[in-house]
Amino acid sequence: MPVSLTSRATRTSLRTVAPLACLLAVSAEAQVRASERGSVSQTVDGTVITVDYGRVQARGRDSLFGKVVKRGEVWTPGANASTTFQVSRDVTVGGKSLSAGKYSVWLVNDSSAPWTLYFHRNATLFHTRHPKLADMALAVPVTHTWSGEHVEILTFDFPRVSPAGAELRLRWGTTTVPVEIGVTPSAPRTAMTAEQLAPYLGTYGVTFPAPDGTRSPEMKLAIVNAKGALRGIMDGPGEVMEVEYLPTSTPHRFIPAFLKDGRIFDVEAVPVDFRMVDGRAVGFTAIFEGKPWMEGTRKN
Amino acid sequence: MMRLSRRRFVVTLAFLLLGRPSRARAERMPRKPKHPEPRPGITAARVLRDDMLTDLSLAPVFAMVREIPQIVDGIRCTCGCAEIEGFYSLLSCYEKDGMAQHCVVCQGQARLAHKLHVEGWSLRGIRRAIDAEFGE
Repeated sequence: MPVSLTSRATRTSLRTVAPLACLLAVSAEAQVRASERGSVSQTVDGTVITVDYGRVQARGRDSLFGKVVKRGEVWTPGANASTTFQVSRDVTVGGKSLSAGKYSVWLVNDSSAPWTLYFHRNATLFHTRHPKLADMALAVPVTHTWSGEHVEILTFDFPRVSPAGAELRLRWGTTTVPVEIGVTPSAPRTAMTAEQLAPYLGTYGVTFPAPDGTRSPEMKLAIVNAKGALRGIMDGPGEVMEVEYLPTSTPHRFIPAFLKDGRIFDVEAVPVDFRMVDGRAVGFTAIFEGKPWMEGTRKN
Repeated sequence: MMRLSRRRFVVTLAFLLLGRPSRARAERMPRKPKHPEPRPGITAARVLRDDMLTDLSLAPVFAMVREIPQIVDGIRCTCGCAEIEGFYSLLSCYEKDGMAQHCVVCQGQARLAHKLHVEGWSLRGIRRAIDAEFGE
């Protein structure tokens, strides 16, 4: 049945419904927000750290911390839905333990230093519904700094990453709030006894596969007891390389960790399997992509 | 998941085989401990003879040092004797009163230096191995 758009009832209905329909249409289509959502993620030794937040803008306002975010206010560093912090493994934040999971993040900028960063297990809170401080999963004192550089849009980033963790940094206006995130090492350095180390100590000749299918000239490798750690020193014509062999749960299997100035800077998931004869290592093979890669043969 | 990329493999291998140490990078790296440069023309003339040893079981270690004075003179001993006046290098531990007779660190460093030298190691590599095993 045709509908007359000229009828009073229809006109009345349209007058009522049209704005609502338009509003709904705009809501469905438009996504422009004063504070767009953003996220930043960093992987450290297999631990994925993700911060998701509303990127609030300064928009010419000064004294962001003190006026816009009032002293003592429990503020999620962002806008709208609370800022979230998610870690795939247990971590430390500012030296304090935090279990793997997703948390909402809250910051209290007290007039007295330091400020406090809070993590709450409910990661789906709105900024106006901040949780009670007593219910927080973790409270971490943080030291803020004032820099000369103005950052218009609230920004989280990871300016520094190391094998053991990363620095998570919040910047807004001229304020910077850094916090150290420590990760759980995938292959922890565990001390071994002299008896455990003894079968592997000695010198080895090492070869690598060359791209043409042959083997490289033999390199010299010494494995020594470095105060309870199995340390390999490779004397090459270019540079002396140092590797620490991290024990695994598989007997005679180690994971190589490259060292610089005595510190691990890179751990490679290339297991090194030692060949044992009468309780003594006579050689080893490093497995890469399921195939033998580096081969070592005991010299002495 | 393997993280050893082919790029890393090629770079590592090239590093080892071709050897292009970065001077700038090398200068940035702290040298700890700093090893002495072997004195030109250094000999083992002042290393204690066997008949001067109080413990003859240590004669083989002193013999090793006599074989490679130019290597041992390029190693800083980490047992603490480096602070003694007149000390120059690990070689010094085997001269004069032969304090190496009473120090397992001095002996261990000499044994390792000799073993690696015989196997063709560079002084640089020997130093790193000694630092790893005996370093502070």
